[in-house]
Amino acid sequence: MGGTAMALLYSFRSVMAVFWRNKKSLVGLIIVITFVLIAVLAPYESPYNPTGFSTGPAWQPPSLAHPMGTDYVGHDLWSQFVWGARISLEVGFLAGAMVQILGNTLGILSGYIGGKVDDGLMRIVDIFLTLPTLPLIILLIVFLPFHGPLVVTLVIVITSWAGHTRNMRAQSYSYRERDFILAAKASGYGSLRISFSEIFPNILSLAMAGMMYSIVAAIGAEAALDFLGLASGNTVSWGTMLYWAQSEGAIINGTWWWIVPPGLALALIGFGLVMMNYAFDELFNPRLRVL
Amino acid sequence: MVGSPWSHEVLKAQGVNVVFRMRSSAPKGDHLASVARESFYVKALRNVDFQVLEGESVSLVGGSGSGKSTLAKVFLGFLRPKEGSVAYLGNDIYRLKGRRMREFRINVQPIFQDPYNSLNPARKISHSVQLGLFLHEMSKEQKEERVARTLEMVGLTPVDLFLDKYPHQLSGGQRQRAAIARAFIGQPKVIIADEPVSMLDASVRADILNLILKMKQSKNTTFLYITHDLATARYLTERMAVMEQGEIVELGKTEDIIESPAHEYTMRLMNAVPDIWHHGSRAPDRPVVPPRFGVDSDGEKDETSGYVDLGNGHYVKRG
Amino acid sequence: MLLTGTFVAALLIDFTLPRLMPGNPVQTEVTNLIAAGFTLSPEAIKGMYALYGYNPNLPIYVQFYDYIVQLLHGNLGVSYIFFPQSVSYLIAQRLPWTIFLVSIAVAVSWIPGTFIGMFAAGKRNAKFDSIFTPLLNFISSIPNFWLGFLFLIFFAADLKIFPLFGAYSNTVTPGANLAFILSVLHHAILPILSLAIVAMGGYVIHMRNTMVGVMGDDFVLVARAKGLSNRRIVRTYAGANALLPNITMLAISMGAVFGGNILVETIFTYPGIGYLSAVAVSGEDYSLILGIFLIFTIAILVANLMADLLYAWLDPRVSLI
Ligand SMILES: Nc1ncnc2c1ncn2[C@@H]1O[C@H](COP(=O)(O)OP(=O)(O)OP(=O)(O)O)[C@@H](O)[C@H]1O
Ligand SMILES: [Mg+2]
Repeated sequence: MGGTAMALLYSFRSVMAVFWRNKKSLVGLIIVITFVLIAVLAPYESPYNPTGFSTGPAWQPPSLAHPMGTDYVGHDLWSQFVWGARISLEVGFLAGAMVQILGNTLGILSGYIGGKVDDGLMRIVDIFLTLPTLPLIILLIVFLPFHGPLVVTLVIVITSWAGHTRNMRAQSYSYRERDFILAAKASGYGSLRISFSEIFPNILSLAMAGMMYSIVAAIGAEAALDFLGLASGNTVSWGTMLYWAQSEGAIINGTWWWIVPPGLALALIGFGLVMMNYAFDELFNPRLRVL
Repeated sequence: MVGSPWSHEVLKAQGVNVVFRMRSSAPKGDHLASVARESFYVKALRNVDFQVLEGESVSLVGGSGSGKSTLAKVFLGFLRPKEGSVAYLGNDIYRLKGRRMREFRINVQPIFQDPYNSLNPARKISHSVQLGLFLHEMSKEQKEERVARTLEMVGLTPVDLFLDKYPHQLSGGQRQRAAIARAFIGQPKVIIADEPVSMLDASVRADILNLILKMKQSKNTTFLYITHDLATARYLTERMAVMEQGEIVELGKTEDIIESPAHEYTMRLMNAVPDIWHHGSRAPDRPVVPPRFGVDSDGEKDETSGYVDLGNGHYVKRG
Repeated sequence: MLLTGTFVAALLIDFTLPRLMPGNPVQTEVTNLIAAGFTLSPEAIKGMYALYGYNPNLPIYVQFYDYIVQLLHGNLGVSYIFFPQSVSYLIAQRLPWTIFLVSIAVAVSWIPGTFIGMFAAGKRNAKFDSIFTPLLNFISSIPNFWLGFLFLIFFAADLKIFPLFGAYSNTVTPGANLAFILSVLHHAILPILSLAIVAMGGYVIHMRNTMVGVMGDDFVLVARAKGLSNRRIVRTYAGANALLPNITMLAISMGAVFGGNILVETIFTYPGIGYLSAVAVSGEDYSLILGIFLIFTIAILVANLMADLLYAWLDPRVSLI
């Protein structure tokens, strides 16, 4: 027990050391953690109901009472912002994780097994990669008889699994004839074991990088849908903030405080996630491995 | 001659043809739908007949691209030949199932050329070595015990130091020792070593070859040794097959071939390294199997096989 | 092959989705239209069913056949919000604006992006990298429609040097006159910049990464050993080789550009099919949404084809069938 705790502490420290050495990834990590905290602590940070009856005078610039000002009916924008972080991150991380699982499984197996299965799957992947993503997402959201954040997440996964799958497949394919893979095969390992116990550890850092990009894409897609008024339920999100800002004349009124925070948050969270990648090579590359 | 040689055949290839399709310079952006790719074919193995007998050490020599590694892959069950049959103890390797398959996997093990490639860079040495016991029914403790013992045998001591290392933390020679440990740990009947020392520093080659020799002798393992290098082939094996462009052009006792090569290609191979031929130990006498099952062995030209029998199991491809 | 497959997939999606909806979408539209005061003769109603190829009473393959026949006649159905205009008419009217916007945005982001990436790869000191890389990553993380928002609030609403909406001012008459052309350019600058700046970030990163990879290739090392200058290597050897993957990247990015364009056109109320699709979505105009998806797919296929041609033209090893 104590040993495990020590080992965990040790690996936590070495992970932090890697982030500390890679200043770019440290910046990314800090940004991401900040947003995660904002999202997790939403109930404690938002003094007002984000969408309920108006909570103050309308069109207020940022002040002590309303750190991000208020909207056209007096909703507190800071409250909308922190609840919006929840939706963005929930959809983003969930979709990212699902794309990761789907893409790793299909991609690695397909690349390793090769042959007709691989050819067939890659044909489907290519089609999904060529279809216009956002129009397809819109189409599915409009026509599917289900709604809510989970449906949005699933639709995003359906439309974006192909890219990660293709990357993982290309990696896996490049390993299939390597001697150590053949050695594992000669020892009686089957395709599943070879894929996950032998190939996967070698491409972990790329898989993680792929996950970051999937999360970024999912957050972007969710915001786009909300901005188009296809809001995932009755929630507030960064996308709906921009939707209301657009439709209620924030531009004409010059209320930059309504527009800047949600978009800047989208840019920053995407930036933070991508910057974290700079630590992954060192964290997950066996040559440099610290874990 | 030993009575009926093929009762001892561990591995046997008959009329094996392997053809590779090569795609010419595929463009990098492979999403392109309408790009035409020319393809051409390489005959890597042409009508190869070859047997490995129980307990023997046999070498497969030939220049680069002659098809040696391809034949090794065919024997390891990695590459199904287009034509011909490949058998392990009389059973077609590519039709093995269940218990038979398991037995084959346990008993036929490879050692590869490139020490930088034959161990998984993302897994610890302990994992890579223990891989060789995957199909063995043993407890975890027994396996760990065996791993430790084998690492000791291959000279990776102190064992505790090496167990948790990753391949990149080892030298080329040490990696090859770990790869040898993986191959031998399950006590296989057959080891197929594809140029196991050609990428190593000259200073450790002899050590590694002696290690393989020691390991195979301790269990009387059957040994197929693939090499460019006739000197080490002479040192390690008693029988030899010479390959050229996918064909076996000469077959016989190592000593006979080296003393009196009959094929022009063999002579060329030897001329590449002229100096080393007349010293070194003689390998013990062993039965020799003619290239095609059932050919006559009375010194006459055999019209069906395309080989000339020079006696004493020495065959040469008709020129 | 891929292009055909993608097109067929888009057709199948368009055909299947309305049939997954609960109820009878055509009947719903007809009812709503009548409620909105339109008079629809029984023939017109029959015609609408025919246009959709939608008829729950017929077997699915007959419906599909009808649907394909309609498509072959260029019929994409009737718009619901712009009733009685046809979907193909609406799209034909707006497509030129989108093509105009997107092609200029791609040109002004991809060409400079590729060159910047190329030369950034030659400059690889830590200090440059520690500013350049994060900056590019930040730029490519910006939601382009939000950038449009900021442009509007600053340059249009506040400084009033650019228009707030539309493709040209209503004081000019469309046609080949200078006033019109200037007005069009004036209206297009902000949307194009919103699209191009963000896209350029991605192109620079990609080109730079490919270049760094190519610069490690053997032939570059040989060139370097021969004493060729870094500049020369970047410009001739490595540049040419990294260019090809960047064309592939260009084709792949078209999907994202068209997607982003929906949002940017919406922000600028720009009369292209991007804005049209936002309008269709908010008005639940199903036939319009379906038609636009098909057009987006075709646009992307054409862009892919053009990238292929460009690729073949630049790469002597590739010949087109
Ligand atoms: N996977 C493959 N795809 C296409 N061609 C191949 C493949 N593997 C081998 N070849 C071709 O088959 C021929 C025989 O190759 P092989 O690797 O068996 O030669 P080798 O005798 O082992 O050579 P070396 O001594 O260089 O290892 C060569 O011409 C090679 O190019
Ligand atoms: Mg070889």
